[in-house]
Formats: sequence, C-alpha cells, structure tokens
Amino acid sequence: MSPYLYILKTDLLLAFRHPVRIVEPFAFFVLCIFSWTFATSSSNGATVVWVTALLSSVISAPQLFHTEYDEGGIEQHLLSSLPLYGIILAKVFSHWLITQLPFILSIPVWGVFLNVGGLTLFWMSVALLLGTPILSFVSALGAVAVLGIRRGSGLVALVIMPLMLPTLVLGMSIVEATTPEGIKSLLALLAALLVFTILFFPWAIGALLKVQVE
Amino acid sequence: MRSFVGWTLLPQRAVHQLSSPKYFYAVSRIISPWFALGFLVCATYGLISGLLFAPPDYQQGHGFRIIYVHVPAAFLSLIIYVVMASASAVGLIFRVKLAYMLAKSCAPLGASFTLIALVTGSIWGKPMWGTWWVWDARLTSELILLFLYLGYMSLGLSCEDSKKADSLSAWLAIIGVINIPIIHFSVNWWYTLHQGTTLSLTKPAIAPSMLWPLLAMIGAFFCYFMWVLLIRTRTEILTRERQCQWVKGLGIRD
Amino acid sequence: MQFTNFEQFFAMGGYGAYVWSSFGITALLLIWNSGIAKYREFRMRREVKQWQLQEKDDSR
Repeated sequence: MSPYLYILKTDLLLAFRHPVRIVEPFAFFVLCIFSWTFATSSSNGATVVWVTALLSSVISAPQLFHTEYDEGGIEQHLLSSLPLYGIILAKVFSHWLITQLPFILSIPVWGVFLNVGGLTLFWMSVALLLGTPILSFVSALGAVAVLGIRRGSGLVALVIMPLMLPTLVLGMSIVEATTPEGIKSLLALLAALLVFTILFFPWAIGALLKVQVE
Repeated sequence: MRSFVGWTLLPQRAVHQLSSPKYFYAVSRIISPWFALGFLVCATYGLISGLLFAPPDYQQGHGFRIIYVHVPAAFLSLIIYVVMASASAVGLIFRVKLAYMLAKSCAPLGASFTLIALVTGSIWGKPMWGTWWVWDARLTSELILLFLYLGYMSLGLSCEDSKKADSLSAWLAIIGVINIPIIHFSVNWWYTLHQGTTLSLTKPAIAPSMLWPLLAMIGAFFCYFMWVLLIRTRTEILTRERQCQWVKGLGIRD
Repeated sequence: MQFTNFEQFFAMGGYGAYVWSSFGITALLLIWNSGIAKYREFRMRREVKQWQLQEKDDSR
C-alpha cells in the first residue's frame, strides 16, 4: 500500500472512530440550509449552497492539523522520507472526504428544499465537486497559519475568506449561466483554479508547517 | 579590469549595506524629509490645479474632482500590497530582517489607502450611480484587499513569537498577491457597472488638463507613503534592535 | 480658474457635500497616519535616549 494511501486510510479511520467529526460539518450544512430557506422564502439555492460550503470549510478548518500539532505528528511528517507535498495532498483530500463529500452526495435531497432540480442541480453538483476541494486547500492553509495561536478560529476566517472569494464567485456564476457554452467555460475556469490550487497550495502549506515547527 | 569589477560590485555592496538596519536607519533619516517635501510640493500643485483649474467633466460636472483622491488612493493601495509582498519575498529568500520590518510597516498604510479608496469611491458613487455601494468588480476587489490587509496585520499581531510572525505573515502576503489578479478577474465575471479604466496607455481617455493634477496627486500620495513608511520602519528598527550596540551608541538630539 | 467666487467653489456645482467630504476624510486619515507614526518614533527615540543615559549612570 502506498504510504499516501496509508495516511488517507488512517485519517478516514480516525474519522469513523469519532463519527462526530463527520456528522458535525454535515449537520452544519443541513441546519444552514434549513434556517436559510426558512428565513427567506424566495432564496437563491446556489447562493445558500455555496455560502454554506464556504462557512463549513471555515468552521472545520482548525481541526485539520490541530491534534497532530499538539501531539507532535507534524514533526513526524517533516522527518519522514516522503515528500511533504504528497503528505499534505493526502491529508487535505481526507479532510475533504470527511467534511464536504457527504453533503455533495446528498445534494439531490436538499435540492427539493431549495427548489433546484434537473440540469441546474447537476451542474451545481459538478461545480461543487470542482470547487469544494479548493475551499479545503485554502482552509488548510489558514489552519496551518494560525496553529499555536490561542483563539485562532476568528483569525482563520479573516485570513482565508478573501482567498475563497474567486471560488465562490465562479461557483455561483455557473448556476446563473444560461447557455451550455457559458457553463462549460466557467467550469473550465473552475477546473483551472483547482489545478492551480493543487499545484501551489500544498507547497505553500508545507512551507508554513516548516515555519510552525521550527 | 579590476576597477570594472569593482564598479559592477558597487550596487551589490550598496544593497548589502542598506540591508543592515544600522545603515538603513542613518540613510532613511537623511532621505525621508525629501519625501515629505515632495509630498507637499506635489499635493499643493495637484490640489490647486485639480480643484481650481481643471475643467469640469461634461457628464459629472464638478463632482468628478473626487477622482483626485480616489484614484491615487486606489492605485497606492495596490502598489503598497505589491511592495509588501516583494519585501516579504526578499525576507523569506535572503533572510533579511529589514525586509520583514519594511513589510510590516507597509500594512497599516496600505489598509488606510484602501479604506480611503473605498470610502471616497462610495461617496462618488452616491451622486453618479444613485447608491452608496455597488457590487462591481473594482469596489469588490478593493474590499477584499482591505480584508487581506486586515488578515495580514492581525496574523502578525496575534503571533507571540516575532520570528514566526514574520515568516507566517510574509507567506500570507505572497499568497495574497497571487490571489489579487484572480480575485479581480473572477469578480469581473460577476458584474461590472464601473466606468472604463481612467488611466490607459493606448488611448487618452482623459484631458491633459485633468490628467496632470491626477499624476501629481499620485506622486504626492506615493511620497507620503514613502515618508511614513520610513518613519514606521525606523521605529520598528529601534524597537527590535534596542539591545544592539549601535542603538546604544546612537546620537539622539532633540 | 473654474470658479469666480468662494461660494461657487464650496458648492462645486451642487456636488459640494460629496467632494468636500471625500477630501476631508482623506486628509483626516493621512494626518492621523503620519501623526501617529511621528509620535511613535518620537516616543521610541526618547526611550532609547533614556536607556542610554541610564547605561551611562550605571557605568559611572
């Protein structure tokens, strides 16, 4: 088994041992959507879903490296012979699997409440699949930046919200777009942003991790 | 040959000397009054010619005169971010302490200019668009820029270890500077109501009698930025290097 | 000169409130920024001077 897969498996196993780590972000999603549609009868479904995805990313960010930082796991990662880039990729991917994927999979159910259906729902799910990993990478960066700072959760929001805006804007434009060409070009842009994020962010996160344990 | 090599090494040597806080302190004491002077001269010319002599806009009447604070502030807010990110990069790559101090001193200035650009932009928008706020590309990018500055500043302030704070906020500045164009283009997709770019190199969109005061105000704001940046950096140097021998031997007259 | 008297100058063709509030806010922020920077530098230099004097006393 590849060592990266092993990291992934360990993280997922830990999440299943403490199911609250999966249930919490999911429940947050559901509560957000219910309260939002309840409060504003004519709300735009895409807005609700994307803002909820952003908020849940921000909220779940601190737990990403926190226990490892406290227990010295990060030093282990830095000392290991594996490239840091791959380790971080695996960790962020597992975080995405735990916090975002359950919601995206259940989106047809929430489409009923949000009055979104058919093709719109399909394109929205595709956009979410491409966009939420970007949100996970950005929140991982924020989480590493505030490691070791007391009361860092408010700070992490301030640090990462501006960096999440392009994803939010692109994701919402996809739902607003009317022509198939428009949707495809926006999806291509979102995919380009995802590729850029995957190339650049693990490296930046690794650099920040090194600063943190120096 | 030897003298030639010596000459080519001169700029390198100058940079090396300047990167030591001691020399920077001395040099900046000498040059910063000149920036203050430049600010006064440019601002006097810019304000008098901009407020009194520039012809009114054919659409916006005298209301367009807000341009003389709004555009320079917006311009400087971006320039300062780039300066801050470059200084951060220099600090990370070459391990120059002074670069971190410069970057740290940039942030409050950049945030103030961003705030000025936002407030004057929304004051300008009220008579022209009819609302205080429009979610158009440039106003939104400016707002995000303000958040980037605030994030940078609060990360630096909340980290107790100053060395760690320097590196962490330097990384944040660099990631932010990569994100600024992405943010700008993505918001451009969203919605644009703003007028075309005021300054363009290819076609003159603005009359020379309106342009010169604008350039003078940009110069004035730039000189102001350099002046206050040097003051802030000097204070930072003294704060961090107070245990050093050269500070103890510093001649301070009042 | 675009204005013939002061009243016209202050009125700015009906945009007076907008123009002058913009310039006023800008001036305030700039003055506050430079003032606080100058004050902090002054305070720091005074502190350094006091340390220097203290050290002189200690070595005596």
